[in-house]
Amino acid sequence: MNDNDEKQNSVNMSEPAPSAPAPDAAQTEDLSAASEVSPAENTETVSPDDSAQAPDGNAKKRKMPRGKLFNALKVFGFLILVLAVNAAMYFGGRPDIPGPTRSYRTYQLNRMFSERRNSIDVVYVGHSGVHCGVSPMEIYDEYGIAGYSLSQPLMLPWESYETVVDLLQEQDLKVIALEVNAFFYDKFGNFFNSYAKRFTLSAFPFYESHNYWKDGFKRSARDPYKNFPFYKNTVPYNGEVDRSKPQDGVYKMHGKHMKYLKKYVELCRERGIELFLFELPVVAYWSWQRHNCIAEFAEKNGLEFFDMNVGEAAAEADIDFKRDFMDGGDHLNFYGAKKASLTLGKRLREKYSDDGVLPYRKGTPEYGDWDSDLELYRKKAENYKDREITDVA
Amino acid sequence: MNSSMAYLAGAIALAFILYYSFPLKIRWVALLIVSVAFYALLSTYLFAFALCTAIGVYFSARAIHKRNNSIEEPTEEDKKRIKKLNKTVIVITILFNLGILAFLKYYNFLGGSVCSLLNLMGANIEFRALKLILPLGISFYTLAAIGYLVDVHRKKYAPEKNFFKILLFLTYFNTVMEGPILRYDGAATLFEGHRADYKGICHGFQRILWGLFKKLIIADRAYLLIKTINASPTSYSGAACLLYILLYTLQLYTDFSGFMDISLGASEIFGIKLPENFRQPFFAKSAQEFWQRWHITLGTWLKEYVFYSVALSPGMMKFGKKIKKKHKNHFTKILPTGIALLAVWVCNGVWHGPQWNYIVYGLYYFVIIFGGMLMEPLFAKLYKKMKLDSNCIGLRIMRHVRTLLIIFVGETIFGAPTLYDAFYILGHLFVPYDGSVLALGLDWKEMIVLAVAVVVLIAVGFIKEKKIAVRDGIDSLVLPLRWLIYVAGIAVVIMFGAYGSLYTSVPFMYGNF
Repeated sequence: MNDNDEKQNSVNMSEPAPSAPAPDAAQTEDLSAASEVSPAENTETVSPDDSAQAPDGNAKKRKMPRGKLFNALKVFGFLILVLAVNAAMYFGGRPDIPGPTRSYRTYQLNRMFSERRNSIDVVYVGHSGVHCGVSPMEIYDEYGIAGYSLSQPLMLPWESYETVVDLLQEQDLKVIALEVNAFFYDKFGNFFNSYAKRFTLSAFPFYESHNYWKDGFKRSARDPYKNFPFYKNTVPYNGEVDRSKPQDGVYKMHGKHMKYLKKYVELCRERGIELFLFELPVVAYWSWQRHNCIAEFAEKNGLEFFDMNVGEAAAEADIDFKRDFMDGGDHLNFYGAKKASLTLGKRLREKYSDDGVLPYRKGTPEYGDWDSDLELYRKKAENYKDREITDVA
Repeated sequence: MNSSMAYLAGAIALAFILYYSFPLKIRWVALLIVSVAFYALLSTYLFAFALCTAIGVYFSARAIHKRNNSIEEPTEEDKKRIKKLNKTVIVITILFNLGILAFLKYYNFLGGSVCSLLNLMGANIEFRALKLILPLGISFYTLAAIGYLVDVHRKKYAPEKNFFKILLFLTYFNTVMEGPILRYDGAATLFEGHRADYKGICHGFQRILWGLFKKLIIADRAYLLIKTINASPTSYSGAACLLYILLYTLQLYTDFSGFMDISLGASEIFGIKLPENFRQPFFAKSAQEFWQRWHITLGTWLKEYVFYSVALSPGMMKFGKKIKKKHKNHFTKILPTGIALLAVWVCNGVWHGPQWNYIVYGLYYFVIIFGGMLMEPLFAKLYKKMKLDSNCIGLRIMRHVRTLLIIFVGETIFGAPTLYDAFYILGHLFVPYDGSVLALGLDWKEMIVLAVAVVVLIAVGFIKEKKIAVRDGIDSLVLPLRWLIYVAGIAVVIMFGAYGSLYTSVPFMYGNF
């Protein structure tokens, strides 16, 4: 096919200037065609002489000394208008979720507030490791425990604490299962991230809530998987893991983190909730010193610390470090999550009997909605039955 | 919204305050301060690379100019000697700059390729890939620097005396990330002091809003589907592939041109006019015209400094004359142009990065454009025989559709994760897809928003193509109506922008090149 229309141009390109040292003229002419057409569109729009001219194009204003003041007032007025419209949009378009401005929460996490009132008995609280590594529906299926993962990436203790407090307005929690790794997220970057999130949310309250246009500005649909993301990929941890010999030393928890750990204890005592500390299998952020720190705190406060990295719990979870992680030792993948969830669920069931603290919910008439969620969960999990190794060894 | 966007917003705000509080004469210094701070924030110590380039071209250009004017009435011999010396200086400087770029960008690719080739032949070499981080915008400022040097060499203009102006020219925060690639003589407004101009500032913000509309509502939304298919391109076919082809091109266009709107708009706030990089590319009627409307400054640069350098080199001129003498026909007439074009398109591909996708992408356009030139007389004859007016409406539409096909296929080659994936996607276009296209990341609500936004985009394209100045039109409206448009625009971007945790914030795509 030919490019007939561009004949002129191709001639320009194909026939260099006849005598060698005269490229300049030929080039500039040729180039002006390509590069100057577009700016020409704007040349008329901005001319320096018009500096005092009002955008209305009212030429009389140019000579008026109050032109600048008028413009300044207009800009100010416009900003006020934009802010007012934004505020109206925010307050009008925000679903009535408890305290969404207090702490940065993702849209996905806020789906927790779409669950039926008083239907959640347990929350699994923590940073991203928790929603990756705990599948609430797996536990529901096996042990009849109605739980939800209260977790989002890099969630720090105070963020999760505030969310729990908000959730308690709508849910009558029986047990808070608190993953403890987030209490060691005390690097500068962690703090910075947390404050940046808060700043973002207070400066741009829309940052998360604008997404509710999809839900007609109401609470979003319930999540049948209870915040479990189904990560399938596998990236192995290739090092050696030997935790058979306990080591001495205690990690010194950061003051702010310790404060919130104590607040959790207090909150649970006040509300009559059982607090259960646990740790998911992990390579990257685990050490005996961290284990000792939590174990010591648990003993002092009469709590249980269920660490799936050591002892019987580790043996029971039976994590394969080469196959059960999605990122080489930090987050469990679907297969690792299944193992860890069943181990965690079993321990919860042993500790809290089904006719006492943690009622058996599966198959009961009130939990028809959760049972249909379970069907969806099973259907999705079916796709993951055959493990597909996508790792690089 | 991602961190580079937030930094850019901060840079624009800071520059706004500094620029208009500095005395008129040195307002460009405010831009320099912000640019250096912006660069250092995003690229830390790698700023040293940009500084090296700036120092290198500054002194080379000065030296070339000085030598050119060293003898008042030079004889032919002097001229020859000076030309030779200058050529040495310029070649060394260009090689030095390209060397940095090539090492940082292509070391791993070339080293890896050569090693695997040697290993295939029986050698046993272990290639150690280096962890190389690219300095911000190196591909862009290197081109601008070379352009400046060559222009001075070609005596287009005298070199800049003030080093800091060169530094600003290369690292201006609005252009350093993705261009437009500036030419020094086209960047004069960068150094002039501009008074605050109400209209210019208004227009600047309008254009930024339009850029955000493209980026946040279209590009990052389209990515929802691109992301899904990129994860395993070989498991899709039919409608899914068609959507991928359409949406990837759309994403690339709105992402890149959206950023251009932001950077040109932000410059307009300071009274600075930068060259346009896009001019409704999808209205092109040929592949060649597409490249005069898409990434214009790169096309111009390649034409100016690669095409002409090759086509007008003495060796090539001699070669052209020789073969024309031997066989006088259409092919020998256009062969020298073809060689220069090949150089242009190889450079275009390689410039985008060390991936086979890009190299094939460049060659793809070479084959199409040069093929078109070769066939030209043939088609002219055909039209004459068939008594067809080559400008009739049927042919015009056909050309348009053909060009769109060329563009979409080209961008798929360019954007798919690997070359194999690109051909897989193109090859499976007509194999029915049994899944639901609504399960690929874009549910029906997102699809509707995307479709409406694309309609707006096309409508604006038509208006601009008709040379109607949209912004002047808005200016002429009465105040309440004008404000309604602005506020509605802001509200739409905030509400329907694909940002926040449900979406992936894609860093500006051309920032990686």
